[in-house]
Amino acid sequence: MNEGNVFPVDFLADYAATILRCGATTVRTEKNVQRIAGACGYHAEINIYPRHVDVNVTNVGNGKNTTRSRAIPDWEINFSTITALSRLSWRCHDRHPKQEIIMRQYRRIVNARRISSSAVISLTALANASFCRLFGGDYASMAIVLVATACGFYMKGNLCSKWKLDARAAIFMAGCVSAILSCAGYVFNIGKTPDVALATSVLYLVPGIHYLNAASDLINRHYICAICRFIHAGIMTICLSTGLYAAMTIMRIGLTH
Amino acid sequence: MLPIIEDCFFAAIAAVGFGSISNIPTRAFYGCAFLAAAGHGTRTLLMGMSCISIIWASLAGSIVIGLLSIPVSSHLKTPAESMSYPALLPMIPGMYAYRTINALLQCTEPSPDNILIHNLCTMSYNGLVCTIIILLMLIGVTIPIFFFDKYSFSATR
Repeated sequence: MNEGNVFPVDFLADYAATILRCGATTVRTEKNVQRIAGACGYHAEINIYPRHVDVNVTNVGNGKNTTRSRAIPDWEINFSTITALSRLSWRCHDRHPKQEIIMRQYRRIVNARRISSSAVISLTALANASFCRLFGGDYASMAIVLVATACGFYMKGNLCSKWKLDARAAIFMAGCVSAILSCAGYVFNIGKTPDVALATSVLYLVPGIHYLNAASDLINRHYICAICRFIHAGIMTICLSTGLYAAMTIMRIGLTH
Repeated sequence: MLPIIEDCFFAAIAAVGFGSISNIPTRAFYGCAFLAAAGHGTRTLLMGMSCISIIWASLAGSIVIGLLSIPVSSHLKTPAESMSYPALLPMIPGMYAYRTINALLQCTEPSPDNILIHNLCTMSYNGLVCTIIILLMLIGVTIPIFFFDKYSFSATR
């Protein structure tokens, strides 16, 4: 092993695992890693698997190469981190900063805080209420969806972070609770579009970004990653659909007997 | 159908909310709202004025989002997908998905053959339309990013 390769290969493996965890597409991950390696005088090849990533770095000068493998933690979509890491790759390409500066900036990006959970809950509830309006729901249905979404989203966050519940179970339970709450329109005769309220109450759980990343990976011919993301997103969709199905069965919505 | 301004307004709010779940950069919220309004507005206009089906109107809306995301991402220095992906989500055919689940639920009830067949047809129709819309939307928004890859992947430079 060439000891001179240790910095770029370790850093690039961590970088690749982090950006993939945040929901970057395979094409962006490849381009960013190769851009940083090129700026440091190396050539990088990257193998992306559903749960792992391998980075192989070759010293352009002497031809020696080193490989590192990293596990990709559970996906946690974070476009702010993807943006900052992409910008870091261009900074390496254009300005060739020292290793310490690159590492310092990388650590700052990785440790950056997310948008506060209360703001996310409020915006998501507003988003789903707007969704209800787009599907032809009236203002009473929008208010029901707003409350149902806020409760479901808050519950999902707590089930995952505090109770460490599996994400699939959390999605099922959040979907079920949101759907039951949104049945208020049927139960108390509120508004004229209770069906729209019920239909839109679980849409905040749709894993749209995973579907889109899968399509992007498919076009980039990363078929294994694409299929993996499709299956992951499909399972999430099945979980939320099952939650909706369970809620409709409990509340006797759509059943005549 | 909602008036076009109201439609664009609510699509923008929905996109901003879904963007916050994905923790998009603060400045990307503006782009996200603009793209969602443009895409959803295009779909509504095509469906209302030209009587185009929701399937092709959704494809057109997603292509508009994909194409506009390239210059907007270069202007705001953020990756195109950080804005175009949340902006696409308000076009998810939620009512078709709901009707599919509803018909599935009714299929599980003991009922005469003609009602069962009606429910199966309703489930298949809504499920198929929902799946085709989602697939075309995925293709429509992703293709422009790859077609103009020189610009879309250097937006953060």
